[in-house]
Amino acid sequence: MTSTSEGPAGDPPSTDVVREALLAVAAGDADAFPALYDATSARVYGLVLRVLRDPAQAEEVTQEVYLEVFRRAASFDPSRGSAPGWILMLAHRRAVDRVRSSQSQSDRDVAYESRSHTEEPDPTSEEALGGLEAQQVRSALAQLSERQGEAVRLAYLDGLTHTQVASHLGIPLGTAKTRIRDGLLTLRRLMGTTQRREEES
Amino acid sequence: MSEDRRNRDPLDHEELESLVAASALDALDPDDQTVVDAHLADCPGCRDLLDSLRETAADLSTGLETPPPPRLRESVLGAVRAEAAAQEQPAPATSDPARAEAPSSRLSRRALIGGGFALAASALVATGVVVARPWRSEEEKDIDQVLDAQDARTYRATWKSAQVTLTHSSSRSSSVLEVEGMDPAPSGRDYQVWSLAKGKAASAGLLRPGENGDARVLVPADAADGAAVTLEPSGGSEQPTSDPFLALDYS
Repeated sequence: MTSTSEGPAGDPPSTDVVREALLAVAAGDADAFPALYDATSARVYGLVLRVLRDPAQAEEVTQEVYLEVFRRAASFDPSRGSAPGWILMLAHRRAVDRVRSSQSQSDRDVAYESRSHTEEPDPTSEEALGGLEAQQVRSALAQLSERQGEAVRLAYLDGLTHTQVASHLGIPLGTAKTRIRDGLLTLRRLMGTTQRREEES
Repeated sequence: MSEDRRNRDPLDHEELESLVAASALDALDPDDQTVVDAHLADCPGCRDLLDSLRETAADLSTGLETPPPPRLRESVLGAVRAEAAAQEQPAPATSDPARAEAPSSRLSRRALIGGGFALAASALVATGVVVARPWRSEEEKDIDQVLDAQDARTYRATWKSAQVTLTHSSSRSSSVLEVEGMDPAPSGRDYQVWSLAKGKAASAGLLRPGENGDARVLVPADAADGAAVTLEPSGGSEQPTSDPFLALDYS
């Protein structure tokens, strides 16, 4: 793969480049960090911004994420998943931690309430799905039952716990759990994201 | 799931898989996360499921790409450079094996509190053995006196990536809370340590992990029942404004 610095509509960074940079950082090569940042920051910041919906907080959390990436790079295990997946996992966790510790939680709940009165799918996630790779995700999401997709989006993109998903949708917790599980399993099948173990090449 | 399986286990495996799926979305309440973590330790299949569903979850962020402001790049890379420089300093003392053995707990652990904190019973031991050790930050006489006290009792726990040690000395009416490998508090916030007595909390100061995630705080423990740590707005609060993510009982 060649250059991976991304523009607003640029190609998604290569998983290989991210992995190489992350493994280099893990091996103690801090000079590889700028390349790692450049290859992943738009995805990390975009996800964190989507969850937090606040640019200032998203910047803070993104900074924390990258410090955590740097500190914990050695614990990245390529046999368990992709390098971008690992970084996005850390990013998502920190973003939802921020959401849940935030005083604005009750405000967000009100916002969900008003949004839920429109009987349409979450518009933000729809309009955000733009690029080429995104078409696959959009197509997969479209094939999910609306209920499953909604439950998955509320959990992942809005940072709700499954208990909050149930309460937001006015459904029993068990139903929410089932929708989240079935939705994710269906997405996995549709998007072909089986576990990406590293191949010895 | 068969009835007998249901009777034998609090959750059948399908229910556990549902929790694993929610865990891949970071959508579990702390109690459920504890259940999942315990199950994952024993179930390679669910570990694989979790890894795989995390990849699927990460793919959901495709299309949300947003370039962050250029200043963030400078800020992140500057912080990483500073941290890389700090790591070239000598590593902090490793934990003393004498503390990690000898599970003769006279002290009980109580109740502890949500916020994603799970205290493994096996991670918590109390011993009378305390060895003074070098520390990167400035030594404080009082802290050493507690650590060296004949009646010092040590509790160990883990919280996220941090090793937490609380050493309590009745004769010194004090405790020392030490952390190793602890992530810094989120920006705009601080960890704050509290001494608890009869349901009242008195601040014992802020807990600010250094570059290597290490810190220690002297906790006054005169007539105290325990100690706790909360996440507070930067600079700390007069009284806790959030539930403790870590609490220990001296009883």
